Amino acid sequence: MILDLFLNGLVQGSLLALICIGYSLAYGTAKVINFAHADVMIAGGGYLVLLWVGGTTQATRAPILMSILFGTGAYVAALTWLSGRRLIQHLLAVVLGLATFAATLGLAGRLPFSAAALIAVPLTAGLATATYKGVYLPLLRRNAPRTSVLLAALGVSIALESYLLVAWGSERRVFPVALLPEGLSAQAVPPGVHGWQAASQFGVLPLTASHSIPILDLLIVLVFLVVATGLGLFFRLSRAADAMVASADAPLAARACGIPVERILGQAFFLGGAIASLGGTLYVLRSKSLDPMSGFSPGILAFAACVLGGIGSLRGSIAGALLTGLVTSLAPAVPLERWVTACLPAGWMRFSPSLNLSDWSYGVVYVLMILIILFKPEGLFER
Amino acid sequence: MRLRCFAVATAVVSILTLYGCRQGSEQGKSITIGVEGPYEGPNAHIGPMIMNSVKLYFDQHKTDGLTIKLIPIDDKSNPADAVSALQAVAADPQLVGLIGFYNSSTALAGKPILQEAKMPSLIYSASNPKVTDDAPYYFRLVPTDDNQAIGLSDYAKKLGAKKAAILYYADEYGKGLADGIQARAGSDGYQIVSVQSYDTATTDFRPVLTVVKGKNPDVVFICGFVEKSIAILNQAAERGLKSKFLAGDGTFDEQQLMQGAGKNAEGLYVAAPYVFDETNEKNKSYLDAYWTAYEKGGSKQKPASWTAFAYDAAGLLDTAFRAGHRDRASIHQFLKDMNSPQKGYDGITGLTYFNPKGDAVGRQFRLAVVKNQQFAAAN
Amino acid sequence: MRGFLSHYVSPRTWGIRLLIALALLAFPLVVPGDFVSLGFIALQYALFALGLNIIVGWAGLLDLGAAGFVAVGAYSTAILMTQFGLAPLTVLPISCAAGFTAGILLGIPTLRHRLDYFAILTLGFAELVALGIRNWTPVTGGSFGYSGIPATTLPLLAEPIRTVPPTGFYYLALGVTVPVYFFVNWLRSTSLGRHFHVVKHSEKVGQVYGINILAVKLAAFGISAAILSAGGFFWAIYQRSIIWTEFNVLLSCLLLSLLVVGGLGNPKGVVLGAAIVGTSLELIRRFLTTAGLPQNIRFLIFASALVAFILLRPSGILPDHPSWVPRLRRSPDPPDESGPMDRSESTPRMMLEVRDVVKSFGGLKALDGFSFTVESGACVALIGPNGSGKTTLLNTISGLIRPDAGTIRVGGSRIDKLPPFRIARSGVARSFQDLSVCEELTAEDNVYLTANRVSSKQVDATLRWFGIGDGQASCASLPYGAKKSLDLARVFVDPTKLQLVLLDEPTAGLTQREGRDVVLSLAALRERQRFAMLVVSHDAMFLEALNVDRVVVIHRGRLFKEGPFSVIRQDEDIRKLFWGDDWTT
Repeated sequence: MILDLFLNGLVQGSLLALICIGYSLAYGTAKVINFAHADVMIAGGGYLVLLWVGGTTQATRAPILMSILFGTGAYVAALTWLSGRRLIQHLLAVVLGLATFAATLGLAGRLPFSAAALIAVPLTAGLATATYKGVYLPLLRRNAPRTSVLLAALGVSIALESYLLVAWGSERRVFPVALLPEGLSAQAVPPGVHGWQAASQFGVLPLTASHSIPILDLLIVLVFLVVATGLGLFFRLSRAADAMVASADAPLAARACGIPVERILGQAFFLGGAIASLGGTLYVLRSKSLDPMSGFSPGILAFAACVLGGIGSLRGSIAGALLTGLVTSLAPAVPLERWVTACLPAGWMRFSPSLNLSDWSYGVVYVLMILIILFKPEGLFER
Repeated sequence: MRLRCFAVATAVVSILTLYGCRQGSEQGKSITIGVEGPYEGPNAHIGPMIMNSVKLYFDQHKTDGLTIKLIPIDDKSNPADAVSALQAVAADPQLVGLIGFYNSSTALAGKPILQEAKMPSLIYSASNPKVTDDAPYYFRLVPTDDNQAIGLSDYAKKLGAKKAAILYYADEYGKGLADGIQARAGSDGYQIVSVQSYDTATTDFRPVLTVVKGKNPDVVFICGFVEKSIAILNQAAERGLKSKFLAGDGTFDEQQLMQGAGKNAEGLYVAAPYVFDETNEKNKSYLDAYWTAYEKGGSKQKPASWTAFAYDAAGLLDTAFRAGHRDRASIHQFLKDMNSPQKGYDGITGLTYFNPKGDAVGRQFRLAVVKNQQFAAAN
Repeated sequence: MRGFLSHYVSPRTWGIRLLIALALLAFPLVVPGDFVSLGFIALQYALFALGLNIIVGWAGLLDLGAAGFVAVGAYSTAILMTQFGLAPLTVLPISCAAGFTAGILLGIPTLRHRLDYFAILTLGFAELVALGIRNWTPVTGGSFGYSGIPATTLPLLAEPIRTVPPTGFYYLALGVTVPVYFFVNWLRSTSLGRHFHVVKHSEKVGQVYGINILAVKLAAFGISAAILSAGGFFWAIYQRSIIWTEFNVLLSCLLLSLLVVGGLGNPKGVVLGAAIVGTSLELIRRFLTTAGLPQNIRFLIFASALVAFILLRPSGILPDHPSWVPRLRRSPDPPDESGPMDRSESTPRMMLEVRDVVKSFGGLKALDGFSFTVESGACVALIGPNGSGKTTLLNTISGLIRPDAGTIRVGGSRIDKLPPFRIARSGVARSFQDLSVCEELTAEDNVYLTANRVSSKQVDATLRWFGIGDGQASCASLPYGAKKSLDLARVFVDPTKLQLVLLDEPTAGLTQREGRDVVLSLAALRERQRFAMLVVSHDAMFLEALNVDRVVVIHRGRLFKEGPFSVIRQDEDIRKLFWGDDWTT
């Protein structure tokens, strides 16, 4: 049982890590706590579902609203990269935005899973960049007080979340499981089926008589490892990464050296957004439904994970995410109730709060985060 | 200074405008019925279905000279929202009856308000026994949960279970059912090895299911609503939890369940307040009418069973209207007088009449099992 | 009360106030039933806004967990009324007290941190509160929610207050919100109100002017939380059923948006923002219900409004007035300006004794066993090359930094372990090398902000003394030199209490002429008040004109040399240490 929980914790942590990378990039470069990040991720997941399955029960509202959202996102993001004369810049950006809008409307529900994922990832990244350019950049440019920046981030997060709720409806959008590729949807394995057959038909890889791993979980960990290694190599080897670090640490000097700081920061957001949308895709697959409200809760959890590990440092936030995943998964195994009932007289138990740690799993993470901030604000694993 | 004058003037003007916006009351022979249920939130698909069903009845059975208005009352499956929604409409004198309450928690929350407003209410789904405690204005058409708990527990015994786990949704319905099952466990010969609760915020059941798996139960009871039950079933398959699942009637929703859990729902036993039987004449004509009205060219998925009770509730009210009862007090009296088989109402769910507590007599939950992505009667 | 009632109020203003009062009282009587609840909601939100404004608008602390305090108020009300059967009017003060306690409890661990981390901490705490409510079913009802809160009964009324139409609730809310509004305005006019602003502007300035920053922040938290709990009280008694999911980040964000839209910091603005946002949200909700559209459009609208306001009009609809700092109308007796103060009896010979002070930052030893003294009434200059530890020393003496080793005595008593505000209260004052004045206030207000009971005559005189002609000019419009002089004016506005003054580069950035003016002012003040002075400066002319008694030279955290000005000035070693060979006379 502990092994099962541990493995589950790793998977949970990997998913969180994909979100945390985005938080860390946003904070490390633009010094912005991007509350909207998790919501961008869920939006990305929703976009993927739209392209792949269609609007499910919101057959007209979802496609239109999502197209508008991502079309606008594409338009604003394009403005960050296109240079040249302003009129041409805007024209090109508008064209890109309209193209996205039309493509989404046209392709909704028609694409196979892989094609949908291929389109959804960069567009979600574009949405992330759009939040940067539209909201954070103007505030940072005029040196707005930190209060304003934080509040704006919160506002964007809630606006995005409500927009998704309006587009999809407040009920958890359960989409037809039948449409999932077979290997990714876990089902009960009948006895006698092993190995590859079990994996491809039932989505689960049996390890021993009583343990098995869902293929999706393996995929998640794999994606995470690839992304983490990729990032590590990127930051060690690439010039673009150097520019990013320079823009983060000394924007004035970087500008003086000719580095287009704002564009670089936009790229940091894009990178974070792309990785998050991978996370969003996997998250939607794992929960087999689309719940717009679910953006906030794992968002805050991922945020707490980042702070635990050290929000300014990529390595730190990834480590924090893995730690959080393990803690939330292993918490239910701790028999706190048994220990307390053993120590305290029975009468006390009537008024005690729930001692079942699975109810408190998020709480444990928040407590850890608070303790870290109080005693070691740079995080457990600083850069 | 200027700004202040302006602000004051605006305030005065807006107050006068609001006053002018007062709506006059409608005149004429029209009655309003409230159709209460979740139109948003975790069970948002239920409300519209119920409204469709009630509307279908009144479309099929029109009375001359009488206009029936149906207003949706949205409780979002949340007691606080139920309270505010009911408070907003309870004062309307045109509203003479209510068809309501999907959740037991909202029924309980709304009780004091409806009591005070003396509003006769017909309940199509809330099944917790406490709902009709001290509730002279509640009339419940569905069977109650003490019956359901017995049914589920006895079936577990039938399946030969020696160890069982309970997962319940933390509201009056879920907890009531869980308590009922726990009370029967001893006499039905199995031991409860784990009891866990979850609520609307829980999305990840994997750790809990892994812990439950470690205790090796033969049977797992799910006392909650379909949205979370789907997640439980899917994640249980992932974790390799091989127990048999018995679920309460909150999970009895064919469309949602099959769509969401697919093959993972095969073999699930669910308690059903009513199972549509296409060989039954009344059932068939109801289903056909429903499909014609609302699912033209659609998949012909059966609507949830509670729509049948809502349909009958509409019928009950209609009988009252035709007998000349057009206000709350007389409708209430009419329903109270429906206390024997002779005075009962014969609808698609059978003969409806109420005992002094307000519960329909002779109602029982039946067990259904999922076979080939459809509900079939379990034997 | 002085600050609030004492300025002249024209008949016109009284007329408007009367009109507003009448409108508020008559509102439920002229308006149709369903709109009375709008009034109630506006009042409830106004209460939230007034409370949150104290922490966020005045003390400048971004509290992302306001919903937690509302939850404390709501749940304490629910439990007390349902389980213990207390009357609503009894429950209200208890609920506020619970909120106050929660505020203090939250404040203690969180208040030492900077803005970002503070915000995160409050968010974390609020989530824990919500989670705690959810998991404590025997007491709070947990996921079942807490329902069945009894109807509100008021004394002298036969029947309980109904919810529809909520006329009774409206008047009850009016009866609470209006006094709170006056209370809040009064609070701003007290020294606590001034201290809130100092905390927001610059903590280190506050500390050296004798303000106990921690206590002020705790007070802000406590009062704010108490008012938010009162709002929670109304939440519980109106809805009669509460559940933990209502008190989430969404609510905290909504409360913050009330402030941003209305005008952060300004009580009037904040109330206006609350009324506008609260009533619009409710009206939109009704419209959406009748139109059959999803309710989530509401949140979309308010969140977009929040972002739009932050981007386009961050100061809100009614921005805070730049000159709100209260000043006394009736002046205390002016200090005796006849002759020099005789300090010989009470003051010890050594005003400042620094002995073997050591301070390291990481691997760098800023102060390495530094010792020197300053006699009462003497003026000692402290010079040394850049990075030699001068500002560190001043910070250590004023208490902003705690030394690793060594002792510091002022007037005979040890101060090196005391918090800075205590040191300041014992008569130690300092000026800052960097600009530390509050840009958005006027010059006068800057002095009033940090001073403790000074009259307008004193302030005007001191400003003129230091060469600032127009006290009402906004600080941002003053030239650099004037801002530095303003810093000095702040220090010397009430010189009678000063024992030891630490000046950190008072003439850096000033023109020669400005520097000379400063010298004259300082000399005259010293003549009268006889405080001891320790001056850090590079400016030889300034030191010479000031007639310093002694010069102490610090190098690499240690005492290099000390002696009278004339001797040090000619010293070869020192000259080489600083300038190579060029010392302009």
